[in-house]
Amino acid sequence: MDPLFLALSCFRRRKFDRCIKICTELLSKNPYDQAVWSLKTRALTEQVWVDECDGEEEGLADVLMDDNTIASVARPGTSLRTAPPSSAGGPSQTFRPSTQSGRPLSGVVRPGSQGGRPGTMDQALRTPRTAQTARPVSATSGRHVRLGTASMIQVGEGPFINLARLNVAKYAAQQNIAKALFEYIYFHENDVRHALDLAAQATQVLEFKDWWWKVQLGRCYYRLGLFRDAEKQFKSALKLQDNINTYLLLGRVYIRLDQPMAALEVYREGLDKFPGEVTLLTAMARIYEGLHDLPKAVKYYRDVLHYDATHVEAIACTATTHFYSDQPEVALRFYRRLLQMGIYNCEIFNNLGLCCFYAQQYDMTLTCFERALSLATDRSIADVWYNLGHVALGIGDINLAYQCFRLALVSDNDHGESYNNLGVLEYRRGNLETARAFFMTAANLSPHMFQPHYNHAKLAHKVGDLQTSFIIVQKALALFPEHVDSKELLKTLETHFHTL
Amino acid sequence: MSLFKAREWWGTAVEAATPGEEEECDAGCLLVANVNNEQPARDKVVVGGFSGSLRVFLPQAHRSEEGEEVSGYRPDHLLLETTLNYPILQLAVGKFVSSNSLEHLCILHPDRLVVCSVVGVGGGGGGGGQGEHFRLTIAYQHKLPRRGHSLVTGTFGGVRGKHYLAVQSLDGCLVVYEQESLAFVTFLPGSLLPGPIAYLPRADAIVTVAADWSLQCYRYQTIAVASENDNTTNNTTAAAAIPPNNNNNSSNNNRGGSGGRRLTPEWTQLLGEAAVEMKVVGGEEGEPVSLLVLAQRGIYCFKESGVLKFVKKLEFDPSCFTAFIVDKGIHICVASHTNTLLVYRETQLKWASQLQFPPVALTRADFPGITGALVMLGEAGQVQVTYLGTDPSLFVAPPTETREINYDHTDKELVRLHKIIKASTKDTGALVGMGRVPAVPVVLRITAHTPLNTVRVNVAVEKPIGVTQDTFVLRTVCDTSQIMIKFYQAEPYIPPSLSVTIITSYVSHTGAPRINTVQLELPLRLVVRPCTPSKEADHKITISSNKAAVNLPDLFPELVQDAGVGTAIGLQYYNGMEVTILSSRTTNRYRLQSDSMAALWLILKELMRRLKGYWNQPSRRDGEELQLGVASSFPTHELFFEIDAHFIRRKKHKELELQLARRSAQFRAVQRRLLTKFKDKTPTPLANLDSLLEGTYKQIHVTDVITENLKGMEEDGCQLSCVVRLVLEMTRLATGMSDQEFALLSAAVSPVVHLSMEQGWEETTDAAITFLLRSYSRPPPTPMPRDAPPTPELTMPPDTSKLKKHLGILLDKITKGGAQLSLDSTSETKMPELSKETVWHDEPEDPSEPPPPPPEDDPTNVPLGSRLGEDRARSARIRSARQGPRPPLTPASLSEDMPEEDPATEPTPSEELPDLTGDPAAIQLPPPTVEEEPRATSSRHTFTRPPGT
Repeated sequence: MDPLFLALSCFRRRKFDRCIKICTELLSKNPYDQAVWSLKTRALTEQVWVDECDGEEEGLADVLMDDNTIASVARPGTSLRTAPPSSAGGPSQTFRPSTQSGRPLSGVVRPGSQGGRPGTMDQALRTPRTAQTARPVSATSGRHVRLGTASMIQVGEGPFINLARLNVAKYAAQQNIAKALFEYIYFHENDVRHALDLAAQATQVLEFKDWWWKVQLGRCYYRLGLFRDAEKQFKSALKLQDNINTYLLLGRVYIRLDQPMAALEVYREGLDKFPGEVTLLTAMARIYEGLHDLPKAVKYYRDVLHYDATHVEAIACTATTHFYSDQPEVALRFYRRLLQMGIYNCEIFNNLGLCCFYAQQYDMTLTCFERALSLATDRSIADVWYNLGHVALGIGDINLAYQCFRLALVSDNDHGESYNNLGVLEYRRGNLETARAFFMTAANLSPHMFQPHYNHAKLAHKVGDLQTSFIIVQKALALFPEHVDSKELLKTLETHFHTL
Repeated sequence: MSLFKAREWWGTAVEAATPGEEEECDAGCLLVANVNNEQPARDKVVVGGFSGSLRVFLPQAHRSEEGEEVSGYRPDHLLLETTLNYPILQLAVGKFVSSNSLEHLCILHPDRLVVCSVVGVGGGGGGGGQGEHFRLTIAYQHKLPRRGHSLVTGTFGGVRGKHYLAVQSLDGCLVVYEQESLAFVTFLPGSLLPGPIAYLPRADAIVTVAADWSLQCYRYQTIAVASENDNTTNNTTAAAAIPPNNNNNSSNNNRGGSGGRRLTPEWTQLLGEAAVEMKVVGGEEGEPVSLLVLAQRGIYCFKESGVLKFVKKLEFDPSCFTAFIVDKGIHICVASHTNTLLVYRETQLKWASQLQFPPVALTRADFPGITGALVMLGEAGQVQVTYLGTDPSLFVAPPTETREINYDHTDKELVRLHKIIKASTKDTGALVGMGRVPAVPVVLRITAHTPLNTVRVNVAVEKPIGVTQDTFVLRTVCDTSQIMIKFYQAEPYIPPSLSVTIITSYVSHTGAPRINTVQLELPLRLVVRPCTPSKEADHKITISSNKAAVNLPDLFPELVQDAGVGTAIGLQYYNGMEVTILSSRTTNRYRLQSDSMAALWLILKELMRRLKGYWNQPSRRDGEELQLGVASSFPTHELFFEIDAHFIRRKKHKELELQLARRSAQFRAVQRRLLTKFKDKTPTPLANLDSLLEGTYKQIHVTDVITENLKGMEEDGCQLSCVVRLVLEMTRLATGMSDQEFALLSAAVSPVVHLSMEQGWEETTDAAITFLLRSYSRPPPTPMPRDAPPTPELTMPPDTSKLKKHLGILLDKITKGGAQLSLDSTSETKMPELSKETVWHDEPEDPSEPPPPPPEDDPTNVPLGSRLGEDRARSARIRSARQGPRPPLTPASLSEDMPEEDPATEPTPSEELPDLTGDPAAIQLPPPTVEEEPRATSSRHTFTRPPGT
C-alpha cells in the first residue's frame, strides 16, 4: 500500500489526524515532496475551516468605533442600526420582545443576534456582560483569535510552515500549491497579512484573470476592515464568474457598511443566477428580520423551506413568528417537527411548553417545562424559569410566579425581564418601594426594554411623583414610540401640568 | 437532522483478509454490476478492500416458509470470496478483453492492473440457486509504471463494443491501455495530487481536477496526439526506468513542457475548492450528458461543453454521492459525514434521511425484490442495501425519571417550604419561634443618592440581646432601601449593655470602599417590665444629685405601674430579677436596690441618662450642670464575688475539657484494640472490651455538661460585665474623673468579657491593672520605657487573689488617693476608643399620654396590613413634619445617611440636639406594638452619625 495513497484516502474520509501523521512521516523522509506538503497543509486547514460566508459577530469595538457606515443618520428602513420599529405589519414590540439591539427576537441564536448594537459608548459599557456572555471586544479579535490558536496545535516540533521565511513570490507563481497554501495561511495560521501578500502576488501572476484569487483578496481586505477594497474585489470577481460565495461575501460587506438595501440587491442578483439557493434566501430573510419587516422575512423563510424542508433556522423562525402572532397551535407544529428531527435541547422544550400553554394544551405544558429544566444549561435555565413564571401568572398562581422569577434571578442575576415582572408583582402587593427598586434595576440591566420604564412611570404617577413619572415615561416612549399606554400616560401628565 | 431514516433491506459486513482486523475501504471499493454476464442480467455487489479481500454478493429477497417476502443477508448470497495479494484500490467492469465482448472485472492494485473474468460454477446455471459460486480467472494483467491512484474506463476514441482503461497515477501520470496493450503514457499538466477523474463518452474527453482546483477537460484525441510525440522519446523511460514513487513534480512539468506539444485542455472551469468525486450521467437516448462534481462545499453540474448548469452549496461535509436521471431531472443522493443522506432534484431538497454510518461509496442498483435500492459501503466494510422508507423514524425523547408522587407528602413539603421561603424572603425580619419575649422592630432606612450595588449591612449586638438577622446584602440600593430587623432578648441573662452597632459597608460608584457605622441604644423596655417596688434588697446604691429629686414616673413614664407613687418604682428583668428605684425629695438622692448587683447596672445607667436628659431640657436648664455623686460604699466585695464565680466556671470548663480529652483518648485506645482483635485471623474472645467501649462512650457524654457549663459561663460573664461596668461608673461618679481618665480605666478594667478567647478576662485584666499601677506609681518625669517589662505569657492564674488584690489597690488609689490616671502622650493617643459617643436627649413627655402597651406581644406575625399601617403612619409623619408642628403620637426615628460624597464633604456630625426633621432619612424605631395604628412611644431616640467613621 502506498503511504501517499493512504494519506489521500484518509483525507477524503476526513481522518485528518491520521493523514497528517502519514504526511509528517513522508516529509521527514523527503522534505521536498510538494505533493505531500500540499496535502498536509490541506489537512491542517480542513481541521479548522469555517464557512466565513455565514454570520459573524460584530464586537463592541467594531460597533462603536465604526467609521464605515455611510450614513450616520440613515432614513428609516434603510439601516440595520437605526431601524425603528416600523408599523409595516407583524406583531408589535408589545407582544414580540426585542433583543438588546432593539431588533425583534429571532427564532434562532446567531452570532450577533443577541448582542447589542448600542448607540453610545455609555450604553455599550452599561450593557450587561456577565462572565457567561463575555462578548469579544472586536470581530477581528474575537473568534479569529481563537481560530488563530490552531497554529499552536503543532507545538511539538514548532510550526509546520514558518511564514516569516516563506518566499511568497515563489509560491505565488506555482498555482498548483498556491491555493492550498493560501487557505492554510488564512484559516490555520490566521495571518491575514501574509495571506493578502500571497493573494496579491498570485493574482498578478495570473494577470488578474482568476476570480478565485480576487475573492480571496476581498476576504483579506474584509478581514482587515478595508470594506471598500473588498467590495471592489468581489465585484470584479463576479464579472469573471458568478459564484454563490462571492455574492454572500459581497452581501456581508454591505451589511458591515450598513447598507442592507444594497445587500438585498446583491442577494437578489445572486438568486437570479442561482435560483432557489438556500443560503442566499436565508441571508435575505435575516436582513428583513433585522429591518423589522417580519412578513417579508417569513416569506423568505418559507421559500427556504420550499427548497430545503429540513432547514432548522427557517423552521424555528417561522415558528417564532407564528407564536408571536397569536397562532401558538401552528407554532407548536413547527416546533414539534424540530423535535422529531432530533433537536433535543432545553430551548425546544421550553418553546414547546409555551406553545402548549398558549394553545391550551395544559396537560403537556408542565411536562415540557420539566424536560426543559432537566436539559437546561446554566445560560438557559433563567429563561426557562422566567417562562414558567409566565405560565404561573397565566394560571393565577402569584406565589409560584414570584418564586419562578426569583429562581430566574438566582440563575442569572442580570435577567432584566424577571426584575420587571417581580416589580409588577410587588406593586400589586403594595410594596411600592420594592417595586420601584425592581423597575429601576430592570431598566438598568436591560436598556432595550420599555416595560420597566413604563411601569416605573406608572408607579411614580400613582404615588404622585408627577415629575419623575413625566421624565421616565418619555424614556419608555423613546424606546417604543407606538406604545399606547405610555402615550396616554404622557397625555394625562401633560394635561395635568397644563392645568397647574 | 431529518425526520426519516434509511431502512436497511439487506446488509452485511466485510471482514479483512487477516481475521480480527477491520477492513478498510474507500470510494473505489464498491461496484454494482452484472459481473458474470448472467442472463437475464442481475446486479451483483462487488466489494474490495485495502486488505486485498474481494467478495461478490447477490442480495435478494427470499420467501419464508409462511410465504412472506423476507429480506436480509443469508450466507448463500455470498457468491465469491477470495483474497488477492495486493490492496484493492478500485474496481471497474467493462468489455476489457478483445477476444469476446463479455463483461470483465478490472481490479486496480497499487502497482498493477488485473482484468479477470468471473464465471459461475455449480448451482442451476447461475440462477442463484443452492451451491452456486463464482470463480475468478485472470485474463491478463499490466504492471503499472507508476503507483496507481484511480481508474477510468470508457470507449476511448469512440471504439465500439469494447472498453479501454486509463489509470491515473499518484503523480499525475495517465497511462492508457487499449485492452491488452499499452497505448500511451502521458503527464497531465498542473497535476500535483491526483483528483477524481471521469470520461465524457459523447465528447470523448477525459475530465480531471487539477491541483489549482480547476476542472480540466482533455479530448482523448489531443492526449493521444500529444503523447505520440512524447512517447517516441520518453516511452521507454516512463514505462520502466523511473522509480514508481518519484513524485518530483518539477521534472514532471519539465517533461510536459519540453517533450512534444504541450497538452492543452479543451476547457477549464475553476471550482475554487477541492473535488471529492465526479460522476457522468445521461448520454443515453439523446439525453444531454451532465458532469456532476461533488466538491468539498457543494455540488456542481456542468454540461459536456463545460458550461455550468447549476450549483448547490452544501452546508455539511459530503462524503460521497451518486446521481441518476429520473423524469429528465438529475437526481443526486449525497451522503454526509454527519450520517445523513440527502436527495436533491437539481437544487431542491427532496428527501433527507438518517443513515447508520457515513458511507464512503454510494451507488444505486436493482435487485430481485427491490428496484432502485441504494447500495452503500462503510469505511470499515459495512455493505448495506437500503431504501428510503416513508415510515418516519421519529425522535423519541428519552423518558424522564418518573417518580411516584405522593401528593400528601409533597403538599406537606410544599407548605413547609413555603413557610421557609416566606420567612426568608421577607426582608422585614420575622421572629421565628421566640415565645413571649418582647422585641423591638427597627427599620433601617438606607438612602443613597446614586444607585449602589452590593451594600452590606451588619448588625452587632451584645450577647443576651439577639437580632433576627445580623447580615444583609442589598443588591441594589436606589434612593431608599429599608430593612426591618427585630431585637429581642435571646437568653435570660441580665444584659450588660443595650447598644447596637450597625455597620454598613459598600463600594461607592467611584470604586472606593466605604464604611458607615451607626450606634443606637435599644429601649429599656426590651429587657425590663414594671413591677411593684420592694422595700428590702441585698444590694443598694445611692446616688446623690445637686438638683431636686425628680418624680420617678416622669423619668420612666413607660414603666410606671402605679402612677400615684412618685417616689418608688419597681422594675423586673425577664429572668425575674427585680430592681427598685427610690427617690428621696428631702436629700435629693436616688436609691437603687436589688437582690443582684448585676441587675443594678443597666438601671443605673438608664437613670443617669434620663436624669441628664431631664435636666438638659431647655425649659429646666438653670445654668447649673447636673452633678451626680455616689453616696454608698463601693461594691468591691460583690465584684470579687462575681470574679470568683466566673473564674470557677472557667476552671471547671478546663477540667471538663481535660476529662473529655482523656476519655476520648481512652475510647480511641479501646477502639484500636478492638479493631486489632477483629482483624485477627484467629478469633479471640473480646475480653469485655465491648462493654468497656460502651462505658467509655457513655462517659463521653460529659460534653453535655460542658455545654451547660458554657452557658453558665456566658451568664456569669454577663453578670461580671454588669458589675464591672457598675463599679467603673461608680468610680467615675465618686471621683468625678475626666472622660479621658475614665476611658483609660475602662480599658484596663475591661467591661467586655469575651467567652471564646484563649485568654480569659482575669489574666488580661490583671496584666492591664498591673501595668497601670506600675505606670502611674512611677514618677511622671521619667517616661516609661515601652519595651521594659517583658510581659509574661498570659496564662490562667491558679486563683484570683492576686487580681483581687491589684484591683483593690487600684480602686483604692483612685477613689481614696485621688491618683491621676494618665499614660504618656504617645500611648494615650493609641488608646482605642471603646465606645462611640452617642448623644441622647429626651423629649418632653406628655403626662396625659396613656402608657404604651406592654411590649410583651411578639410582633412576629404582624399581618401585612399592619405593616402597611406603619408605613402610612410614617408617611403621615413626614407630611406632618413638613407642615411644622409635630403631633405627639409619632414613632421615634433615627437617621442613617449614606452619603455619596467624599469623606471631606461629608456633613460634619451635628451637635447636640440634632434636628430630627432636618435629617434626610431616618432609621425608624416603630413602637413594639401589634396594633394597626401606632399608639405611642416611650421616647424619641435620635442619633447623629458617630464622628470619624
